[in-house]
Amino acid sequence: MRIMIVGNGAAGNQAAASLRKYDSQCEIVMVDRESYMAYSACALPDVLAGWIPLGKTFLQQESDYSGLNIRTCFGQEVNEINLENQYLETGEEKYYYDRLILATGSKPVIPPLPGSQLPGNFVVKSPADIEQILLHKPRKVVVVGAGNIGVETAAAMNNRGCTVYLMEMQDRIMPLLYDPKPAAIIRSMLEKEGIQISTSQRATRVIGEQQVEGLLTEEQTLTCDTVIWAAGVRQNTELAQKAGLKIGSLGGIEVDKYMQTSHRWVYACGDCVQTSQVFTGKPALSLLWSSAKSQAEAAALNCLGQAVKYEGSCSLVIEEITGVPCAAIGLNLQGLQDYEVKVIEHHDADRYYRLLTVDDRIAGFQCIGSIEGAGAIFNLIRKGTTLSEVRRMLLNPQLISSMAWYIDGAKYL
Amino acid sequence: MKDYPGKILEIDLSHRSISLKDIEAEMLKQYLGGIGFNARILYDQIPAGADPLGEDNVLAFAAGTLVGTPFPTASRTEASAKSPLSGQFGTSNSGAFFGLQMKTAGYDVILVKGQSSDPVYIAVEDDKIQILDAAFLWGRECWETVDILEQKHYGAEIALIGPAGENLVRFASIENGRYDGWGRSGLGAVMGSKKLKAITIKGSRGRKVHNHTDLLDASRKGQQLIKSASSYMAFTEYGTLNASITYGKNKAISAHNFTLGTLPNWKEIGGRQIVDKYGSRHVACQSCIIACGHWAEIKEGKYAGVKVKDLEITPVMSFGATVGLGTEAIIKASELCQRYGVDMVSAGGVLGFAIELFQKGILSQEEVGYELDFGDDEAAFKLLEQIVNRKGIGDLLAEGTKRAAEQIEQGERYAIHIKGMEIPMIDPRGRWSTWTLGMLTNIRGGDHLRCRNPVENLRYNDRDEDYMKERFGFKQSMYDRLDMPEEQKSKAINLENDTVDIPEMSKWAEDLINLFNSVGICIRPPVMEKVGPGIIAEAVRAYIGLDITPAELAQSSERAWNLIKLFNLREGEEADASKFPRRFYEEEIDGEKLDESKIQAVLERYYQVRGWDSQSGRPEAQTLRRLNLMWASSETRDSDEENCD
Amino acid sequence: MKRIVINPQACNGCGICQLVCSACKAGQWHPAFSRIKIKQMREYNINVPVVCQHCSQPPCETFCVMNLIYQEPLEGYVLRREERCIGCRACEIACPFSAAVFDPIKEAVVSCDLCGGNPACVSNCPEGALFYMDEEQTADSKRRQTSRLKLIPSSAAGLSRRASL
Repeated sequence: MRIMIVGNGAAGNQAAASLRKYDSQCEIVMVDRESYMAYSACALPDVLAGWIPLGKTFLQQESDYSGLNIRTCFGQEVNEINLENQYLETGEEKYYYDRLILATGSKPVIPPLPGSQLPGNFVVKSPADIEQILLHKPRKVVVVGAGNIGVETAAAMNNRGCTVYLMEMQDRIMPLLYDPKPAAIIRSMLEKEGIQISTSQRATRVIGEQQVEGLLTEEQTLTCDTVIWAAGVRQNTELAQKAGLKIGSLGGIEVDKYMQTSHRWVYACGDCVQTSQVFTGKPALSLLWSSAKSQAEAAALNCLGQAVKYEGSCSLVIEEITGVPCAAIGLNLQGLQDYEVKVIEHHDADRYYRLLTVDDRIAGFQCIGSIEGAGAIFNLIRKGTTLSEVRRMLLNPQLISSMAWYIDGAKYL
Repeated sequence: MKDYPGKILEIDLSHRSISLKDIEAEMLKQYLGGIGFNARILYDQIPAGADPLGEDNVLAFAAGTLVGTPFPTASRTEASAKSPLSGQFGTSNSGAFFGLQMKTAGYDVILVKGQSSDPVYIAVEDDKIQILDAAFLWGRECWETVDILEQKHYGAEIALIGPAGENLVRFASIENGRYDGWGRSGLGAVMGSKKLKAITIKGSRGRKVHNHTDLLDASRKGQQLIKSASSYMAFTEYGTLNASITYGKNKAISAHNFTLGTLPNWKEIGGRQIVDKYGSRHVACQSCIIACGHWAEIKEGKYAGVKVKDLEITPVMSFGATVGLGTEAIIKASELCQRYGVDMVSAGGVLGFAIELFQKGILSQEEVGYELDFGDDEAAFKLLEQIVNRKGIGDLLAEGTKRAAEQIEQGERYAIHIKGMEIPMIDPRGRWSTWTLGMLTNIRGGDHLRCRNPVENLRYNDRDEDYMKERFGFKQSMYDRLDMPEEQKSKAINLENDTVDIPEMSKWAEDLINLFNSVGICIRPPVMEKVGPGIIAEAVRAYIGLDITPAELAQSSERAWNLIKLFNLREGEEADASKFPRRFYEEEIDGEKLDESKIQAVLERYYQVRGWDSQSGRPEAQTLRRLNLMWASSETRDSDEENCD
Repeated sequence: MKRIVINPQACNGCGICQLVCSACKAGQWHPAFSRIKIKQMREYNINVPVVCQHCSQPPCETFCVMNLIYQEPLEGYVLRREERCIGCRACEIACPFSAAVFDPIKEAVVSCDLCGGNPACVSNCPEGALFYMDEEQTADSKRRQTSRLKLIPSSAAGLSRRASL
C-alpha cells in the first residue's frame, strides 16, 4: 500500500514515523514545497534571540528518511489532487496513492494593508524567515500580535538588542491563553525589560518608500525599520478546497474523530484541520505542535486500517519570559465563557497561579514564576478528576503512596 | 586542594548586614566542620563574659564535612552559642535534612550575630539571602509556623523557635522542621533573644566531588560496616528504645526525679514493645540506612489523634521516668515539646523538680495553683504550658532547675543538673560506666550524648570498687575490629581481665563523638561500633580532596574539644562544678550511692589521660602545643602558672 | 522490558538514591539534579520515589517540540537526545509521573535512562525500596494492562485505543 503525505511539518513527520512504526512494508512518500529538512517552528524565536544557532532547529537529515525507507520529494509543490483517480500532481510528476494524508499546515497572515508588502515586513514561520530577518539587520522592531508567537518574538528581538514595540488588537496580551490578571503580570515583566506594549491597537498601514520606515495605527505613528506580523495564521486548505473536500466553519479541513476528511481515502492532521474542543465540544483549531503529532498518529493508524479515535488535546503552552517560566494549560476564562467558573488564585512576590474549575473539575491552570507541580495539575485536567476526589486522595496515605506523582500538585489545591 | 566551595554566611541582625567569608584549607584540616568550626569561630567571636541573651552572643550552625554525600548517616548539623543555661559553651546536634540544604545552598556555616529590634526570619535560597519581617509568625507554635513557611518557601528546610524560645525560656530548643531539633543548651532562647523566629534554607547548587568512585566506594563500605554491627538489626527495628528495659532492670532510670531507680511497670510503659503498639513506618534522616525514627499514632483514648515522629528513649525517660507519665502521655508530651519548641530532657527535669518540691511541701498549692503529682499528666502539661509562657510559677521554673533552685529555699537538693544542664535518663547509682563519667566531663554540662563507649556492653552492669572499670564482655573479634589507634585501644581495653578502663575509654569516646559531630554523621550505637577515623578519612578525602590521615582526623576533634574547654574556662568554669548533684552521693537507690572521693579520683585520672591539670582540669601547655592551640592559651592562663617553653 | 519498580512502603526517605543518581549523571551531589525524586508529605510521613516509567505511548514524546525523545528499538526504553534540548520544559508538565527533571546547569530536561542497564539508585538503596525488574514480573503490571484503556498516557494525550494491548 502506498501512502502519500503532503507536508513536512510536525504532523507530516509524525504521520510518516507512525506509519513506519506500525507497518514496515507500506510505501511512504512525503511531498513538500519547501526543500528544508524538517525543522521545529517552535524553536525559531530562540534563534532570533541568539540563544541557539539556526542549524539546531533542524530535526531530520536525509539519512533519517532513507533509513526508515521513506521517500521524500521536497521542493515540489502539489498543484492538484484528483480524488476520484487517487493521484497528486506536482509540476513534474503524478503520484498515485492508496491513501493520502494532508498535513499542509498553516501560514502566518500578513493583512492586506497598504505597505505590508514592502521589504522589512516579516513573519516567523520557517528558517527562511529567520535568515531574512537577520539579514535585514533590524534595529527598531514593531511586532504586531501579542499571542504566544508575538510575545516570544518580541522578547527575542529585545534580547538581541533591538528596540521593540509590541502591539495587540485585543485589550490584553495573550488573550487566548491567559486571563486578564496574569496577562497583566506578564506584560509588566516584559515592560520591565524595555519592551513597549500597547493593547487595543489596530495597525492601519505600513509607511516607507523603498522599505519599512514606520507603522500607523488608529492612534499612533510608530517609527521602525522592521515589522514582524504575528497576527494569526490561515490554514493551507487551497488544495483541499480545490479538490472538493469539505472545509469547516473556522476555515480548517473538516475531519471526523478518525481524522478522516469528507473523502474516505483522504485523512488530514495538524494546523490545517478543524476538530472540536475536548471540553466544550465546540469546533476549534488546535495550532500546537503536540496536537499535530497526536492527530498525525491517529491519522496514520487509521490509514493502516486500525480504527483509532482522536479525543482532542489539552492545550499546554509554556514559555520562559525574561527567564521566568510561565505556563497556560487547558482553557482560560474566555474559552470557558459558557460555563460557571470558579477561580482559585494566589499571588505573592515569587509566583502567581490560578486554577479554573467547572463543576468541581479542573478546566484550566495558569502559572507564572514556578512550574513545579504544574504537571500534576495537567494530568488532573486530562483525566477530568474532580477537586473533591483529589483532596480525598491527598488525605489518604495509602492512596497517595501509590500515586505519589500528584503530591507536587497539592499546593495548588 | 582546590578552592573549597563552602562559605561562612554571616548575618548581623543589629546592622541588618550580610557577609560571606571563605573557608581556608587550613581551617578544614584543623577543624573539619560541624562542631569543630563552631568551636573555632565562636572562640573568636563571642567575647568573654557576654550575656547569653544579649547582643554579643553569636549563634552558629555548621553542617558536618560529609553532609551532602551518601555516606551513611551523613546528615547532621551542629548549632552552638553561649548557653543561657550553663553560661558556657552551649551546643546541640540535629539531623533530618537541614544540613543538606545548607551545603547545597553553598554554606558550611551560618552565623547569626547581634539582635533585631523586631521579630524577623531569615530566608536563604542559594545566593539570595533576605531578612524578612516575622511579626505574622511571632507567637505561633512550631508546627503552625512550619506549615506557613513551607507554603511560602516551597522545598525549604526550616530551623525555628516556638513560644518557649520567644519567651526566653532558658531551655528552649531550636526545632528542625516539625519533628527534629537542636534541643539542649537553651539555644532556642538565644535565637529568641535575637528576635529571630526562623531560618529557611533551600539550596540548588550541587557540589563537585573530588573523586566520585572513591566516594561511592567509601559510602558503600560504610553501609556494609554499619549493617554488620551487632546492634544494627535491633536498632532498625526499635531505634533508641532498645536499652530501655535494661536500664530499668539496672535500676538506673531517672524515675521520679532520680529518687526511685526504677518503676514497677516500667516494661509496659517504656519498653521497646511500645513501638509495635504505636509505631508504624520508619523515618530516616538524609543518607541514613538505619532509620531509627518511628512514626507514631495514638488511635484511641484521651490522646487519640496525636501523630508525631518519635518513640525515642529521650522522651520515654524524661516524661515516663522522671515525671512518671504513661506511654500515651509520653507521646503527647513529645508533640507538645515539638510544638512549644522546648528541650524534652530539661522540660522533664524541670517538671520532675517542681513535682518533687510540691510533694515535699516546699512548693505550696497557692504558689502553683493546683496539685502536682508524679504520673499526673494533666497537671504536668498544665505546668509545662505555664513554663513555656512564663505564667505564674512557670516564670521561675522557666529559668531551669539551677537558677530556680537558687530562688527556692531548700530547693537545691532537688535540682538535678550538672553545670546548669538537667541530667537525662541514666541514674549513675544504678549504672556506672563511661557514659555516666561522661556526664561530668561533658563540655556542655550534664548530658549523656558526648561520651559513649563505642563497645558498651549492656548485658553487664558490674561496677568495680574503684569506679575505674566496666566490663568489656565481648570476644576478641570485637576488639580487633574496633577502629581505634592500637596504643589507646590497648590502654582502654584489657582483654585478659575483660575490662574497659573508664578514663582511657572516655577520652577516646569523647574524641570519637566529637569527630562524628565534626563530619556530620550520627552517634547511634551501630555507627559508633563500626565507623572510625579510618573509613571517615577515606570518605573525606574522596569528597573534598583533603589530604588527611585518620590520626589527623582524631587530632582535629581532640583539638576542638580542648578549644571548647578553654572557652569554658575563659567563662569562669570552676573545677568543682564537675560534680553530681548531692543526691547521688547522699541518697541511696537499692542500697547504692556514689562515693564522691572515688569519683573525684576517676575524674583526676581522666584529666591526666587528657593531658589536663588533674586538679583544675585546665589543659596543660604541652597538650596545647601538641594540638596547635598555644595561641589560645595565653587568655586562659592563670598568672601564677609556670611558663613552659 | 525491565523497569525500575518501586515499593513505596519500604522507602524511608533517606535520599541516598537522589544523591547517587545526581552524582552519576550530573556530576553534582544534589537531589535537584537527580532523575529519581522522592515525593514527600512529611505531615503523613509519606516518602515515595518517582521515576520515568518508560511508557509505551510516552506523552513527553508527543509534547517535545524538538522531537528529541524516542523509543529505543529493542526494548522500547524512552530515551532522549539531550544535546537537542532547548529547555522549553513542556515535557515536564506533560509527564504523568513527574519524572522529567530540569537540569539547571545543562538547561535541558533529563529523565531516567536506567544507567544503561545497571541503575545506580537500585544498587545503592539500603532499604530495598527499588527494584530493577521485568515488567511481567510485577504484580501491578497485570493491573496496568487492564487499566491501560483508561489510564495510559496516550489516552491522556488524546488517543484512545482498542483492547488490542
